[in-house]
Amino acid sequence: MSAIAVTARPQTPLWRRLLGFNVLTGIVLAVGGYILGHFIGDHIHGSNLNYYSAQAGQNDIAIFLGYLLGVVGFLVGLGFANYPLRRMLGHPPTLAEKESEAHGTLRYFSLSTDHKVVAMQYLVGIGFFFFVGGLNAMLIRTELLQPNTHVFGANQYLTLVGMHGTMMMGMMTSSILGPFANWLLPLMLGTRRMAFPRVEALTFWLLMAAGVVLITTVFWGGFQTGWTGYQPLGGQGTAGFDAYIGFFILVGISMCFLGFNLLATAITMRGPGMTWSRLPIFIWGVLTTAILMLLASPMLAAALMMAAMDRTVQTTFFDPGYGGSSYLWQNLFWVFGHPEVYIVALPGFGIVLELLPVFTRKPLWGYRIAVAGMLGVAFLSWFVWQHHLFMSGINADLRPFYMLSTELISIPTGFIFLAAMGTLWRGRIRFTIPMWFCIAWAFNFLIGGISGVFLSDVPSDVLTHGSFFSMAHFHYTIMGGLVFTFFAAIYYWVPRMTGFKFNELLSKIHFWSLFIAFNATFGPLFAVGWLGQPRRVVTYPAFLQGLNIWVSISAYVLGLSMLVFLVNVVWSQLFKREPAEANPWHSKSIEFQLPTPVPVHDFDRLPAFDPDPYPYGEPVQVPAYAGGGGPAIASGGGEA
Amino acid sequence: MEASAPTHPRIEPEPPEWQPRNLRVGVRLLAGAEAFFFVSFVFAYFYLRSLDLNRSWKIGHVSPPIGYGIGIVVALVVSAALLWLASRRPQTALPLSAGALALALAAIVLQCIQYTTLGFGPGNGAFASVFIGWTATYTLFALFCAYWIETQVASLWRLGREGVQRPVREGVPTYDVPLARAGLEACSFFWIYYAVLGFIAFVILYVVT
Amino acid sequence: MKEVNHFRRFLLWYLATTIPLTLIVVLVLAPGMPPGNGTVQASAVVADNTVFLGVASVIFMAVLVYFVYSLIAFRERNPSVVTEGPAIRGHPQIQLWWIVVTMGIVLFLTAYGTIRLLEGGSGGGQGPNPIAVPSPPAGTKPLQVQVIAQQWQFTYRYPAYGGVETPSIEIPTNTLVEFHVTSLDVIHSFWAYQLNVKADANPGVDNIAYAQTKGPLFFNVRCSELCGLWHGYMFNSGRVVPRAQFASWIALQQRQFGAARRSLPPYTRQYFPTPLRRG
Ligand SMILES: [Cu+2]
Repeated sequence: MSAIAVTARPQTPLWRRLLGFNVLTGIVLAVGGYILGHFIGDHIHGSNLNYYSAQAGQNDIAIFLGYLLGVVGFLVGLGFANYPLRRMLGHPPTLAEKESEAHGTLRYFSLSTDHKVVAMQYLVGIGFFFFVGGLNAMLIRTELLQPNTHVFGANQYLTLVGMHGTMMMGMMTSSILGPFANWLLPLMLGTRRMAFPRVEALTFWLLMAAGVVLITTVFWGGFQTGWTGYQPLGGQGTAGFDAYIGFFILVGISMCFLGFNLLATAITMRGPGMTWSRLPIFIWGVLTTAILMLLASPMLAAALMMAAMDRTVQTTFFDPGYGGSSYLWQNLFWVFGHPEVYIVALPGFGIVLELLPVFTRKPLWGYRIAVAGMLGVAFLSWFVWQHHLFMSGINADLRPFYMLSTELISIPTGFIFLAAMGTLWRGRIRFTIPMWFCIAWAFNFLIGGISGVFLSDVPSDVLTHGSFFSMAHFHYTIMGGLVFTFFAAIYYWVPRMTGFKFNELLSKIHFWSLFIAFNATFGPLFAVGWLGQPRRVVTYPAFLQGLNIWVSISAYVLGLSMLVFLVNVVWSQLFKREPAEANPWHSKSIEFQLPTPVPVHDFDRLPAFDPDPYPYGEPVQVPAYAGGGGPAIASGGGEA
Repeated sequence: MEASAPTHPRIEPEPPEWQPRNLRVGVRLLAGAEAFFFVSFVFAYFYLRSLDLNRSWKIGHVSPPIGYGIGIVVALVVSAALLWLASRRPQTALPLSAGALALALAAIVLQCIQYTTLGFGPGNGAFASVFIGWTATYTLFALFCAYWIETQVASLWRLGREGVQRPVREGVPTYDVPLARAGLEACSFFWIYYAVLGFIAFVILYVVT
Repeated sequence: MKEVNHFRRFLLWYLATTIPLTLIVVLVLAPGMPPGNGTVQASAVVADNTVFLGVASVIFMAVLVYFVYSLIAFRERNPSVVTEGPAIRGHPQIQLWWIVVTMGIVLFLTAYGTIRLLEGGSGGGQGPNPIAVPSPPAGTKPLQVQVIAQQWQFTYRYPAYGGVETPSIEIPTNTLVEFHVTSLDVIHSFWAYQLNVKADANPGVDNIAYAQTKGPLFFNVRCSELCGLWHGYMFNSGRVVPRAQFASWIALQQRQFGAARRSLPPYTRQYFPTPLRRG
């Protein structure tokens, strides 16, 4: 990656460079802030304010204030307060493009507003928490080797389940938009930055703070609600549930601003010629996701605020004895939660449809219908949430409507498949690692989608609802849909981002072991659920042990496959670096026409866009990205 | 990992109209997000009200003091109107926006005083919970808005004192009068919008109950 | 001409694999699948799943065979050279037909589901005012059983038998059973697997679900909504027994728990978890 400035800097000792606004200062101030918050909380905590927690002897107000001031301290330490304070003094607004306190490697550990640096931060940060979440899954499967508790107790088991689900649903939501949209969107639109670069950095650091907050739940005894945090069960929880609330509020803010920033950038800062109908399909996937993120996560934040107030100042939103309702949480959570599911799926659609033309050497088939599909999914995802409540007894006479809306959403999803299938037809299909991941996406998402029929149709949902069947279903759509496309994007774009290629053999081992282990793990879980094992139980009937052992062993293979990936990354990106070709995939997209490494300022001149977003196929066309007064791209561009 | 110098000596600046447009677009997106946040409270209000589970919509005598409510909503509306005028009249923008800031802070202070004289607690049924949750989060965001207005006041003050500066840094215009103008317009748009949300909250929480 | 050829070959592959597979699924596999035929609702879900599995195999195979065929037939035979494919950007008629066909499938699934749901409730929880009430077998009356979930056990009350509350459940054969599912604390879910009944237990809510028993049956009951620490241990079992046996069982329960019943609250459809009117 390129350094920030051309001018040579005098070498200062490391300790001097570590002083200043960076993650180290952030951590110190975070700890200080937490202690201060806890101290204040202890003092304002009256004896009448411990309704839920009187017996536990805990003080939720102190915990929440600790988290709040801890996060504030963290952000201040990173330097996020500097600009707002300058603005309070009336200093003129600056755009802060590529602004960073630090230089060189230290940039990655401090507030940086270079979209390429933020993208790398996201990739590594989310990757870390992805492995934490994955490790939880391994431990869950270890516990389920036997039909009764043997390794962990019930509480530890539920905490693992909750942390796995919460970590994955909270963190992995941004796993494509964080790294890849931040890196690619400005380039693909022909600008050098996001609309609000500081907000872009903020979304990343909030997410990291959130991850740490969630992990602290183990110090308070964990939480027993799973990622859905159902009330009033959550209200009973120890302070571990405060960590859940803190995590999801931070994630909600991060997601909301991530979507906000991406949307503002795409609406305003499209280069000349980049009309809406010429946006790369990946950008459409990003934008539809961004709309959902922008609008759905505030509802989550509001629901969590209510839960936090129930736990601290004794409101009774979810307490049926005092006029509250358990349905209220379920509704608010799933009005957020179902768009969330498509927040996770839509970027994957975008990546698959973006990559298929490259590896079939054909233009995207049915661009408009693919865009319509994404918009349709985004729109319909607001009208399906009560299918999570089919058995709950609420609005039973509306179930046919939710059945219809849920089934209808498979029509726009079908458009994505249609576009993918049309692109394959009579193509010149090249089997690269990213292409394999796209093919695997199609297979997994097909199974995920079809198994959804059994959950969306009420008569069969009676059997499958809340069982391992539904768990297998959403792992097929989320892990099979998001994680596989996440890896497709990694193998496709990361060599471009870092300048180093991956080890081919390890990549192949990773793909095939992942694909096989994934299906061996989650395929049998359909049967496990069908045979009567509910989700999130620590015990199960003895006759299901054979299947469960099979699933656990497959899950270990899946975990090993992820380790292969980790080795691949460490080996090929840190130790045995081999420079990647500028354009190994013969892509005609603009990000592959830039020099390696991509200059800090991306373009010398802002590019103007060719009328054709997918110039593949006969006759061979060379994309032209010309800015006013000369070529936009400094060097290394223009291959056919 | 070596530094790469731009090949061309001069980097083409981005179009100056982008950042003002970003502000205009961004503030509308934020308004959308904000609406969805408070829709949750509207939903909680009407849902719990229609449910009236265990006849606990209100437990005991629960009616928030309306005098404070009127005071708060009037302060909000007048403040929003002042900021709107400020965005329209560059000559008197500074005093107008300072007045808007003062009224915004007054609304927040009034809300805090009201909490000490409510006459009911958060546990007095669903209405009490919704009332306190809704107004508390509303006040929290109003505090952020007050910060935003303050930056506009401070900017106007410094602009009046130091005049227009227009350094070009790294190919990007860092300060421009149109940008300051767009900032004030964005702020006033959001504050007017937020005052409308406050008015809706007033109607639902005090008038409908 | 080449295109027609490809399409025909794909179609042949598709039909050759899908017709036998679908027949095996619909005729052999699906009818014998769990949860069996213990109640009318269980039989119904097996029948519904047979239909859905049939539809699923037809769709699944269409996409799968298409992908496999394309990946084989259209693979780049010489990957060292980059050759471009034909620049086809869409086909309005195919897109139209795709929409029509998927819409047809979706509407069929929804209509089928709705009709089946309204026929007999399918065993799912329907809230306090059920709309799909199955009619009881001729000459019998529905039996009400209240399912009270709490952390972490189910108990059952029989309002027709003086509101006796029992730790286990038995119901008579050939009877329409009306489960009133409620909770005393957090959300649980009453899942009687072999009866194919699933209804969430929400505090303060009366969630009604129906099961129409046939012959004698043993069934498992599990909580299927995460309800806290011992959620994994929240299960028990019940039996469907002939009427005479049920009568003697319920008489035994009344004797056994009669004393305890006096200290219970009076029978009600909704219980609230916390004492009323906090300060
Ligand atoms: Cu339970």
